[in-house]
Amino acid sequence: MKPRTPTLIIGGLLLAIFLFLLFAFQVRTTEVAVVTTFGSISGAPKTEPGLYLRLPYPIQNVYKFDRRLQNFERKYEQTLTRDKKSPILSVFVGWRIADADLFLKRFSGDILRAEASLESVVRNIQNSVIGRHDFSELIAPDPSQVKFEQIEKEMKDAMAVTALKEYGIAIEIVGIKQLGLPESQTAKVFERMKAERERLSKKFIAEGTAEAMRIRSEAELQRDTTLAEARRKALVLRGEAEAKATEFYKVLNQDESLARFLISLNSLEASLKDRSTLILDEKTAPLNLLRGDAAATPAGSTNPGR
Amino acid sequence: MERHSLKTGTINWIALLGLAIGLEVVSKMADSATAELGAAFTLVGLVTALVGWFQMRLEASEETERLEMEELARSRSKAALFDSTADEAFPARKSRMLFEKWFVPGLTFVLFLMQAGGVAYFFRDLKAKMSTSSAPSTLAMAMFAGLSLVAFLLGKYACRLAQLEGVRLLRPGGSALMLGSLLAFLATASEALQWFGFPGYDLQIAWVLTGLLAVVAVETLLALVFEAYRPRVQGKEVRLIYESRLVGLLGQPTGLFATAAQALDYQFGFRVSESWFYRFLEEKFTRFVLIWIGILAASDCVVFIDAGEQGLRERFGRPVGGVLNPGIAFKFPRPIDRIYRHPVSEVQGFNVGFVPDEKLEGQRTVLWTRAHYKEEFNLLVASREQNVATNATEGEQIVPVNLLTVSIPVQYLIRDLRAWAYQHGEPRLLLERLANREVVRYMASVDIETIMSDGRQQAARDLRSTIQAAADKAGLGAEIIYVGLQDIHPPIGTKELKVAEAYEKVIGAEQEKEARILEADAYALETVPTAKAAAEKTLNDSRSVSKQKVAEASGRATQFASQLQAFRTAPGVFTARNHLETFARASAGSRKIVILPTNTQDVLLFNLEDKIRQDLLDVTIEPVKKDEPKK
Repeated sequence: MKPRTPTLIIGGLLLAIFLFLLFAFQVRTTEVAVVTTFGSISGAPKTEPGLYLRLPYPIQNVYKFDRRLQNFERKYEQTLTRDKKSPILSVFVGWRIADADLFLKRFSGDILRAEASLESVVRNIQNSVIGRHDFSELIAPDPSQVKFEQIEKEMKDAMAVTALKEYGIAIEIVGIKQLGLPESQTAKVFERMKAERERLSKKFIAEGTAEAMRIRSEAELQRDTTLAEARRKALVLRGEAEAKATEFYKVLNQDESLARFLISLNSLEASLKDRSTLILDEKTAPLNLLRGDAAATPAGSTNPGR
Repeated sequence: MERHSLKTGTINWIALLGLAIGLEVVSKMADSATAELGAAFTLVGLVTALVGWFQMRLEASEETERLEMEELARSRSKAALFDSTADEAFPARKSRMLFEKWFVPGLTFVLFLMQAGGVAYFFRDLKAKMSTSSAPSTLAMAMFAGLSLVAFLLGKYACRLAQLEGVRLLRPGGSALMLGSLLAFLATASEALQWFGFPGYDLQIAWVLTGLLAVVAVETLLALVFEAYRPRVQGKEVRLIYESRLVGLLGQPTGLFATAAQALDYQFGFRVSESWFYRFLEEKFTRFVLIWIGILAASDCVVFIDAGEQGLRERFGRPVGGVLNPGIAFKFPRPIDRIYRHPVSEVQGFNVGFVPDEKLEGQRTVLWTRAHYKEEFNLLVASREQNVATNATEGEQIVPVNLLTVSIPVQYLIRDLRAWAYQHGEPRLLLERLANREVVRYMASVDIETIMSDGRQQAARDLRSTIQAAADKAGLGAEIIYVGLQDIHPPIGTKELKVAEAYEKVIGAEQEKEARILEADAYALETVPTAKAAAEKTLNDSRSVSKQKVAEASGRATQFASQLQAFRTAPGVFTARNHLETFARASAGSRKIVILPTNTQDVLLFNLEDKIRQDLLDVTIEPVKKDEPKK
């Protein structure tokens, strides 16, 4: 039976694809490829993007890795500073494959395995570098005291040597992503912050009370001073008035007995102004009239003027 | 020959059982979703093969029974006993009929449930597997290939036998084996593709197979429904409703048209397969497939880059040309050319310091004392006050920090697509981590009071520039367009230690302080003018008294001068008159007791106590003046 043209075309296409997959491979601009022949690495890693020829599996095998900057983050881990403070840190690392051959040998091209190995290096170096610094070099009110960059650089330098030599990995970025305190210390900080705020609250209230008291006392002082001054002036005025009045009263000296008589009359009138009880006998003028003493003279014994 | 068919049927279901177990075990070993789907299809096929095998046994018993009855009928003259065609005379036939009437539809329904359950299970399972990837395994590849080969040989034999001897009950098992072989081959192919550097096809194939399982489930259900309505033709062979046409078709692709024709003929009751259209399709099918492949390849040559996107073209992995802007772009089909699209003009963002919660988004009031995000991280901030305290008590183990809850949304655009896509494996994640780092660094030396109040805007500006600098240093090719300090406040604290509440109390205390001062101010404002007024009054009173005194003295002096003149004129009369007038006037309101003693020996007693309540008789009623108007 003669095969038909469409069938031949489909067959040819499938064969071409199959052969392409068997004898060629592509390397993207983001990749690096390592070719092994019967298990041993042959030639330099292919870092230039393009199409490359190969012998089919199992003669040759092609391992392709992403050569872009990868990044991973360490666990949020408690550590100890030189001054025995114990913050929690998480560090992230930016890395890329620098030596693809070594990377293949060490991890069989498995990025997850590479990161797992890198993690133990990062952990060790993170703890040792932090242990050489005081807590105040991580957190301080004075920016010049904080040595974030220096700490990160120390970590990066220490990691870079091991990672490149042992794993074929170049460390390009190391950064502290998170910085915190363990729960027990967080509670203490909360407690302190609360106490600090309460202190501030009380301070504000006390300041308010003191200021209010000052204002009140000042007002009272001003009031008392004003009133005292007013009283002083009043007394002066009254004294002056007394003096002036005395000037007028000099005329009374012309007949002192009359003056006394008149003053006594005024006093009598003033004394009896309120409700009072008088017990009088018949000798008191004008009650002496009750005895029928019609001839009583003004110069009698009851005459107060005499 | 029947015994031979039965034997083949037995081999079929045993082979299917082995294939299902084999695929399942190796799929777990290689984490192959395709093989897992293959195991599921094979399991369904195993059930149909078992039913077919059982039905085959029933038919064989019926045939034996029929032959025995014919033999008995020939050997006995009196066949009255066997004239009857009652069912009790043919128990095997009755069993077979009952099986076909009740058991087969019931089992078909169970089959449908199995298929539907499988679809639901794989839908969830594959969704969960979307983010994972597995390494290719050569051992698994070899095992899949071996299983495929064995299943193919057994299935081909069973199908051929079913076709040659007309044993239709061997067909379901044979088709299931052929399909199992195909699926094992697909599992091999997906592993091989992964090996050749094309990962992800395993999941794609698995998704297609899940869809296929869903179609088979629908087919099973439709077969059940149509069975109830199909025209019954006397003597016509009844179709096996649990046998999937689709499975048969996939197992033996060459029989596509035969299966289609068979299905159409069976359903409509006339020979559709003899029509010109059907024959045309059968002849030109290969060309249709070729055209279809051509259309697929042509569609792969055109890429539409949406507004807000840019594209990067690669030929055999090498970047070609510049950045592709929105519009239509042409390329060679894969694997020659590829175009990668990225949303460059679209604002992208992430959050620092919090994880948003859709449930809490609807809150209309945002308070420090209530959580407004799913998760809020406390950032360490240096404490100036604590620093002073630490110096005072040196050596004490106090952590000199405050904690601050900060919510910072960061928005960015991709400015340099090549740097973004070609220099970094996970650029977004790196940018997020760099931004976190910058925020932590900034907070490490910031003053908590300043950043929470007037330093907020400056902090946002500083953070934006430091994050931008970090992104530039890392060569990310991103532009930070916005950094917002939308929330920055003390942490809520715990149930026992409510920190945010304590901060609110400080604000309350400040208000109270102001209130107290204002109250004192009000007191002062009231007291001082009042005192001034009182002083003025005192002075005025004194002035008044002084003037009165002087005036009175002046008047008295003048009066005295006149009185003196009168006195000198008539001294006795003057004094008496004045005395008596004054006495009368002064004592007018006094109670008077006049004693006129006749006997001086008497002792008079007077009660001069004031009465608390006056008697009516004690009240002096003033006489009404004549000129006074009456009230």
